[in-house]
Amino acid sequence: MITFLSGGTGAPALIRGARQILYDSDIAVVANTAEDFWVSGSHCAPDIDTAIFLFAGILDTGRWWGIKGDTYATHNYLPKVAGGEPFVIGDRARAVQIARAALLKKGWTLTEAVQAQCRALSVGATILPVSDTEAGLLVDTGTGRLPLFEYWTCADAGTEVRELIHTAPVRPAVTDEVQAVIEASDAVVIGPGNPARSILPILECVGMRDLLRDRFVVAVSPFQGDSAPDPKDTALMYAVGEQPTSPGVFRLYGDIVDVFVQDFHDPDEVPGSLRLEAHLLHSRQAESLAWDIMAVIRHAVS
Amino acid sequence: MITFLSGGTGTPKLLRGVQELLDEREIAVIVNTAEDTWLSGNHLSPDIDTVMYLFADILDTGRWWGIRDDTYITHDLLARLGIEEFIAIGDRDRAVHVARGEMLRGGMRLTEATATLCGKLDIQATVLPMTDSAVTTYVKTRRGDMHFQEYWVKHRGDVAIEGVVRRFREPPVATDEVLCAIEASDAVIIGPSNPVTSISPILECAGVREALRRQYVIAISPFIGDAPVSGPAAALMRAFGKEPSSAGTYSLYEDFVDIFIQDTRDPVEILGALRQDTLMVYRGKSLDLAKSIMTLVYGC
Repeated sequence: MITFLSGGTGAPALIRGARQILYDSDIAVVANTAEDFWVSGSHCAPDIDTAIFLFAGILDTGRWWGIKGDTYATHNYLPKVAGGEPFVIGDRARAVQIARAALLKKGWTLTEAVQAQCRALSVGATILPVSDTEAGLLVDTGTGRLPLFEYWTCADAGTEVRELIHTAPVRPAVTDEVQAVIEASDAVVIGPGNPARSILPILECVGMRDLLRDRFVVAVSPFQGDSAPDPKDTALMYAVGEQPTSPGVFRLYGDIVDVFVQDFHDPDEVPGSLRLEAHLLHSRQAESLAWDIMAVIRHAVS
Repeated sequence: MITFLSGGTGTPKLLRGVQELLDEREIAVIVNTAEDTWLSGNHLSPDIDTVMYLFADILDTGRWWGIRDDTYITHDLLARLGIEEFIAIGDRDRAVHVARGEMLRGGMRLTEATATLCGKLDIQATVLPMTDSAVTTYVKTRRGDMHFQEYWVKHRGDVAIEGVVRRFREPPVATDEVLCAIEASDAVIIGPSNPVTSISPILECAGVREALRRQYVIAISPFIGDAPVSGPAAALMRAFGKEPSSAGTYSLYEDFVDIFIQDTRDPVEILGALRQDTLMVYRGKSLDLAKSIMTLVYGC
């Protein structure tokens, strides 16, 4: 079993590559929940949905979120009768959000609700939210506070990010299911998601770093130094006090990482890192990177 | 101005005719909200929606609810995900529920939310929920109390009922808008809607009966003999302790009604009642009945 820590778009792209090499049943995904929030009466969980849709074979891999071929009847009608929604929700994606909301309102845990959805959509992999308690992040823009996902999808590129604020009064903790699946894994792969947005919220959950210290962990940097990162990626990294570079990512992950992977062309040197083609522009590159990572893991844990 | 008291089918059929005779700005509709419910995280208000969709000219007049040519993508996938909505919510219809749900969650009154929706849908008529507080019709069955929508839509009325109850946290009070509309009208028309589940909830709102006693009121019976023209009225009337007929209907309205209209085929004799063809099976029939009623109100 290999566990992936996943959020954003980079990590799911790597997981898609890994699916060419591993059986779905040998893959576990621990998904970021910092972008979860309630919208239009239903439960939006972008990173969980992306993972579910990927393994259900219905992910729109052009955008890395939403369902391929979805329709937008409700979303398009909303501006006609009200102010509209902050971001685009497809009719099928909305059904997934409503169904999850209904299960949560019945008192199910998020983990149980996600497992039920995975069964309904014939997902073979194990997909787990990192935590069952609320873990949403708000972006303090100086003029207001936006849910992280709304900032990511709707805010202007120049929007200031002063601080990331936790909505929950207490730090979320990893679930028993997450603990069990990581303990049963040969290795944990931290996909190339933006650390501030997608990975740190996972690592910050109570118990997560301790679990990872006992595992073989491969982390892939999402930054390539010379190629300018997205302005929002940059702003979020600065908000957590780091540069949007591979050394910055390495410092944020700290002592949990056994092998740190950077792109061949990255000019910022992280001592001891493994240089691979980490630029995931198309599926062949992702498959190739996944192949190399699996080789490293096989070599290290056997 | 003329004010109508409306439920979900009978009165909207009459409104379809009235619409062609009056300037829409001269029509106010006070709508039953005792069938409202929160569904899939959003606010379903079946009778308000039907009336709004009628005036917005998007109503599915085959069923008298929902939006014409709507799609059901979300509803269908929900079923696959194990969530059975008891009523098929169309995707556009859902947008209206989402919009209202968001407004109510934001602290708006139902009256304001409805006015906002009407404005957006370019509706000239005044559509008013009977009250801003929550009141819900439940039917008593052997399996316990059941939401009326569940009884009628999910079980198709195929459950024995022993009583009808209204549940609320605080007794419903008619809004100021409702009482003003009644007072400012030339007449109030009670359409052929279900007396137990559509009209009585409106009459039970504090202030409505008193306002109606001071007004000129025309009521149309939904019964021909002991059978209602449509819907589950007969069983409900019995459970409500009333005879399922025009006589039972009249007894609910008699303290304020000025003119009571029965169908020409109705064998039940009510003294002083006016006979009209009340079976509004198509547009022209709606128009005929509307014309007769307008004549009663305005003469010639």
